[in-house]
Amino acid sequence: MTTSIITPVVLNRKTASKTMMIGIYSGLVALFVCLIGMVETFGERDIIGGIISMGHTMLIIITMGGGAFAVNKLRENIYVSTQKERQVPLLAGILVGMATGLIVGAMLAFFVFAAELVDMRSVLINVSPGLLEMLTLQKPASQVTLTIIILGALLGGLGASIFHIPPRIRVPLVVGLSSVVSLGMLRDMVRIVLSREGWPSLLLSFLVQNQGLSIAGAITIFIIAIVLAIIWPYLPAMYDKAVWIVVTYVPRVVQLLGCILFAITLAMRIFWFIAINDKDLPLLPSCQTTDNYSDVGLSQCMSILSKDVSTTTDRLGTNFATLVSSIITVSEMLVAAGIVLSVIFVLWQMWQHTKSTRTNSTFEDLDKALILITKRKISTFFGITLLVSLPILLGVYPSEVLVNVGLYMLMGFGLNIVVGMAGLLDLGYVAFFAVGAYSTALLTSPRASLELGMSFWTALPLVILITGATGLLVGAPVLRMRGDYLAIVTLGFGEIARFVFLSDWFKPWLGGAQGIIKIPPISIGNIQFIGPHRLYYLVIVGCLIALFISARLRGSRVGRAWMAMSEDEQVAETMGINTVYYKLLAFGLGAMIASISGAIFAAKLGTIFPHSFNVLVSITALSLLIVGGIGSLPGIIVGALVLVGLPELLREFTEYRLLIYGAVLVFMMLARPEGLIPRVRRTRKLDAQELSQDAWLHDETDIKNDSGVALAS
Amino acid sequence: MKSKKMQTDERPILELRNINAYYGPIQVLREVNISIRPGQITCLLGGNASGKSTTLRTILGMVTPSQGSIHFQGEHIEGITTAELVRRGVSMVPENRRIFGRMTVLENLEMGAFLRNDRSEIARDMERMLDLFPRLRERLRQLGGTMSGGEQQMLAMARALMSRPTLLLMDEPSMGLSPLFVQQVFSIVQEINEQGTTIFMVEQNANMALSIADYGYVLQTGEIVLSDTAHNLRDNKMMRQAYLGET
Repeated sequence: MTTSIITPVVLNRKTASKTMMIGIYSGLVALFVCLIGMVETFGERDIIGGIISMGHTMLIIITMGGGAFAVNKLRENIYVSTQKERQVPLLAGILVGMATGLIVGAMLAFFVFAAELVDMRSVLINVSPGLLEMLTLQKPASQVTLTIIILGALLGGLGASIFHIPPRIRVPLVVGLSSVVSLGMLRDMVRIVLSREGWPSLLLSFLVQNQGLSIAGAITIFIIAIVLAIIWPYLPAMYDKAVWIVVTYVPRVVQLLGCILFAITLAMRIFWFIAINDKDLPLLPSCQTTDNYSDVGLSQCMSILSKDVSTTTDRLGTNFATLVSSIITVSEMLVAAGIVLSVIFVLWQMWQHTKSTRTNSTFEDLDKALILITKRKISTFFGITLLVSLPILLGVYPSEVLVNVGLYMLMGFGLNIVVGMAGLLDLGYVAFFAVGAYSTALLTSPRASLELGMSFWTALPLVILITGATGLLVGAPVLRMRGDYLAIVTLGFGEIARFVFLSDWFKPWLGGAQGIIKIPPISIGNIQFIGPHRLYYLVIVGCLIALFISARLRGSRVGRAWMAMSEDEQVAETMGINTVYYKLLAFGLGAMIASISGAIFAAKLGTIFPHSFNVLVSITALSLLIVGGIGSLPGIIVGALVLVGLPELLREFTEYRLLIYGAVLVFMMLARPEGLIPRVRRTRKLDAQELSQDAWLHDETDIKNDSGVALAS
Repeated sequence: MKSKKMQTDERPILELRNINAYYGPIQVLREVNISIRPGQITCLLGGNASGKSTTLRTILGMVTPSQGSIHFQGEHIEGITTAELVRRGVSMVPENRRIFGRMTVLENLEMGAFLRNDRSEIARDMERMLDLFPRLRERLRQLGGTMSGGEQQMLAMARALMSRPTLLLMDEPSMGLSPLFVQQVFSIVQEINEQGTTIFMVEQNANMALSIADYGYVLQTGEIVLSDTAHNLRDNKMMRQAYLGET
């Protein structure tokens, strides 16, 4: 099977036309993103300062992707029985890729040329000089036409040849490149995080330049990512070994002491973080230097966020503050000393050990269960530590993002009960979120019509009950509906809820378009949960509770009933499942969890308007379920981070947010229809092919007859 | 054994009296009278669209009859929910199996025992089912949807039996199965019956059904046109021509 034999087979007329089609499609995509202004907007953001912008990166990715896609399509059409992996010969592949890239380049070049001749701005307002400048790299169009075409062909060929690099090299390369691109995209975030005190300021100036990453920074990130990607497969074994060393050589007492010391430090830090220090939180309490780094967009945002954070240091007294800060300093010094000492201790022990028994210290004869338990303990410990210390590490603005993610995550958990477990497609889920927020506002705000002014914590159970009852109210009339019909009706309910809150009729109570103001913040004792870095802890607690409830429900009798119901309602009924009861239960429970999210939302903003509760909230909540994988609990977490977290980080792209959203959803449906982290149950399903293979393995007669016939009698 | 059953002349366990049912303006059942005696296998025969499945759905409360009454163990059961009926001891093997495809075999069987709380007894019944259907034991952890039609039929029967029904309703158990397997299903039905469960079976395969049944009804366009002991039905001339494939 040499190249010369296959090449004519590969490059026949059919594949040529297919390649051309793919080229034209990729070209259209490239033109589309240019014409809607995405390229220009993204062009303002550099991946690597002064060298390559995001707009360019986008076009490059489209061209290379087109090439790769064309080769992939070609590969599907080749059937070589002897070869296990279908492989397009290198030359043919590169040719195909280059052809695709050529078409993309030609289309762009033509566009540039045409735009130069005719002023298109009256119709296509985004064809601005800025865009053309970007495409032509500030040269006259006539000079660069050929360059663009050649560049396109080269990129297409490059994209096509990706499949020919052995995976051992390809994976680290792709990981390295994509981490540079994503860090470049998130440059503002990197800047915010790194400019916080406690991080070495050198790191910031090294990594980030005005517009994007510095060259040195980009190279460093690339190398680090590559190294990480290469050693990634070996990490579990290394981790095992490390755990093994700790378990065998470090006495329990020392381990325990270390943990306790670490926990104390962490607790004091959080206490300091929440209760005492209200400025934008230096990592070390003693250090008072102000950070004079300025960033126009986000630092403004940050200052607004931290404006309402007043200093409670005065209230608590300077002496007390000094005391706490000295405790932190001392305990941190102890931890540091402890680490140094324990390393020395472990080394000494190992040396002693090797002296006494030089022969056997292999992995086989140690207690694997102990290691497993220790590993689990370690991961729990560090998981909790990470969760707790995230806002301390990241600062105010990222915490704000995390709070939003958490609120949606909470809604996701609630909606998962209705959609994922009970199989009732609910498109009006925002109604329950809104009812939760509004009832919180009515009960706690002294300015609301009821003038109750309850505290958040007395109001919360009432809010949950009220919203649960609303869930039942909505659930009752739609009991007989399924699937699409249910979706339409619930969509209607969501809108009705918004209009009720908006209506003039209810204005005396619900405030109409003005909403309800002066909702007091949540407080426990003296600590008021103002500002995202505090609300974060509340939201996390809420999410953990919802996660716990969901996990328990799933394995329970109720979860089973829901599952049966979502599979076949009539048969479920013949199993003795009271479907009316279980449907209402799902609606009620889902509504309750949404109400917690709504309550925190109301208390967080202090003011609520009907406009915050539009259908987009329902859609987002549902999409994060779909992207994560319906019914999968880790999927909800990942889905919320991807769909809510990422757009928040890329605020500049607000205009294109929904477009990207849609593209991601379409891509998901094509590439991973079961979600990013599919539920175990779904992946367990074998497809017909595998099944027949299995049958063949077990019993040869099974495949010939219907396996019912070959039944063991 | 069979002759002994024939003699039992107790009150019927389930009785349909003058049932009339409509789908919109179309009358599907006309004055249907059926009584099922405890311990027997009763079968309801008929061609396509004769109202067989509607009769079952009426019993289960999924279709409300416009006239007539249904009694189960002497009590009126019109208007009660399906779930309540199952609680009282009726169980159903649905048409086309309809097992829970995304649950494992084990979970399917557990669903059958949804209403029961006696764990040790459930475990014992589970063992009994796995003895009755040895094929299911091999596939215990497999997803129901990945099994063959025959295996799914077994699962559907085992699942229905897990609720320890006094009356088992079966909707076309032979549908879509190979002849050899139909025989197997029917012999298992017989076995279940001998262990004391009353069976009411809706079938198109009249030959097979009558070979194991004690009593039979023949339904034609919503009316009962014949009812007799299975033995007599097998000899009935009209029956032989219409359903048993004799010329």
